[in-house]
Amino acid sequence: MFIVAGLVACIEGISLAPGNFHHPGPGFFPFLDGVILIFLASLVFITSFFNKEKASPLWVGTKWYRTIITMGILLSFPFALRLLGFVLSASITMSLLFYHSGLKRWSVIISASVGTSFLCYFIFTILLRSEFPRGLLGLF
Amino acid sequence: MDFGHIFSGIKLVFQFQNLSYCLAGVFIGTLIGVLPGLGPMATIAILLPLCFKIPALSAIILMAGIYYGAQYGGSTTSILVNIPGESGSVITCLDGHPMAKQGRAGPALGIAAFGSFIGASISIIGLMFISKPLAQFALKFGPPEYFSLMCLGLIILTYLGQGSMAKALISAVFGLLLSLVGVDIFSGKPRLIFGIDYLIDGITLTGLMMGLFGVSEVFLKLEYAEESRKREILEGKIKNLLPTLQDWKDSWGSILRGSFTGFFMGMLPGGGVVVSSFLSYGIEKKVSKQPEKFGTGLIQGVAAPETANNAASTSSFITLLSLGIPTNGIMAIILAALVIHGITPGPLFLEKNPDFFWTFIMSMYLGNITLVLLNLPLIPVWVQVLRVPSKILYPLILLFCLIGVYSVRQSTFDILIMIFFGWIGYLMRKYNYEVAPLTMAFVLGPRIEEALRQSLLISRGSLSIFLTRPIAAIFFGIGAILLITSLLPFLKQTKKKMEKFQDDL
Repeated sequence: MFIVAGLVACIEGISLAPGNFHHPGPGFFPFLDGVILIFLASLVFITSFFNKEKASPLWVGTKWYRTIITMGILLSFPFALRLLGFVLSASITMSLLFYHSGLKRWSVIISASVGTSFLCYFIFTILLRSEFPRGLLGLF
Repeated sequence: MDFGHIFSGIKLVFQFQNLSYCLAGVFIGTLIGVLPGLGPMATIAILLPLCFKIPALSAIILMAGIYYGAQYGGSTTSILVNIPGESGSVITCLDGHPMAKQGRAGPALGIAAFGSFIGASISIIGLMFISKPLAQFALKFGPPEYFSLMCLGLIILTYLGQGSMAKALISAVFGLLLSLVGVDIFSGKPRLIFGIDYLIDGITLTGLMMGLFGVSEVFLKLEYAEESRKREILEGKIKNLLPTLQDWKDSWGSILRGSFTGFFMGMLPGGGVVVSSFLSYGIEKKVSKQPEKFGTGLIQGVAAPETANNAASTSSFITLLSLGIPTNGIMAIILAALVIHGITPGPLFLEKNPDFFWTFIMSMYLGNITLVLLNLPLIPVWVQVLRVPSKILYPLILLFCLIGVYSVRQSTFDILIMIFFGWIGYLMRKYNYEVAPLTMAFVLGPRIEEALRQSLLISRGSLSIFLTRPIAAIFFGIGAILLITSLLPFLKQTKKKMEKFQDDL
């Protein structure tokens, strides 16, 4: 990942005209940064290659798929927010997150979700004067 | 010392708004210090949207309160549950929990609170006396000196990090790269935006911070089953919170040494609560006549690190306010928040904002007094807080992040940025890459680039400017020594491994 990021920075640096030490251009720092990043990331990559026997399994024994599901729920929030407005989208997101985190009784999940959504609505819109979309239904 | 400004500071800190944020900060700080997993960095990142909506003075009072309040709270979890509530309290577990098991949880909590108070007070006094001379000295700094100092800060932060230095350096360089996204201040050309108009103003600080610290923390915790996240809390009533005369006799030396260790370590770029607490524990073991008894429940093993972490959390503001250089990730977030408010810490900060400075100092006095007065009577409440199940806590953190990041600019793109960096932070932590150097580099990035380009323009392209100017040369010399000392063992090990690999083939 870091090697790719470094390569991207180098390409961008070159395309923006890096200039030289006398007259550093807009691409100077991205190029320099990219070169250092590629060097360091390659160093770590090579060392980890020789260290293979010591590497511990990072994904075994963990419920990593829970992270993916949570990310999916979070990614749906901005779209739900535009469509359904603040309170409804927050309530649905919270219900899904509570359920996914281990709460199983739907009565508890729904009341907790609606309660926290209204509480957040109060804090952010009434106290902090933030604005949120009302959604297609024109509710909160 | 300007007594007029001190009195003005006292007056201002007792204004309802500042007082409320001070109390809220120390309360929230203690709360998150008690809760394992959610540290002050994540909390300050989550509360950034709120900090942008309140005056700058209230924002720094709130953020500082969270930072030093967390050091008080962290000890409670270390002592009672044997899990550090906060990274600065990791070492407290070694003697704090055995003390609690021996029925001495009260004195352990008591000495941690009093030690923290003494350490913080000594640091505040230091902050009052050192900030001005340091700022005056920093007036001699030009772009080369600032460039070398910021580089040194990043090198020390990576050098003192917990894992591989190479990985920490990668994290820092990646942070620098992220800071370049947006318009170049010299030429006005957009860089690294890949045709996405939303990125023209750069990556939003709130999205990055909340993603890296708030969201990624929850992502990481969710990987483990609910059963493994349950905590065993020491049952029974906690008695004798006030240390006895013998306890004071045993620990006063440790408190004094911890105060000074924490004070100096907190000021150093890259230093902070973790390093200072470990170092002070090490010093105590060295000076003790019975070093073998450490780890069995010695009160000195609680007093020294708890004093040091609080002293460090306070003294790190000296470097930030006098030089404009953050010494750790939390200071980097606070610096970024101040800059957004139009306040630039640095050598001229004290001269230009005396009321701001002294009110902030007074808020620290007030916050620490409040903490020591409220913390001990509230211990039963904090024990109850520890019982809040993570299945309730984590969704709440995520919702607060979602709404918080949206509320700053009313942009759904910022939510996506936050989730993206939540994922990046999750992967980085999983592969043992520290995220603190990334944060610091991201905040310092524009200033580092500006200082480098200005230095090169001054010297007409000659890099020797960094070696011919004495202050810059000293900073670079220290940085080079640190890099070489950390690189030598690494190169030796790699050579051995390569030889072994060739033999195996």
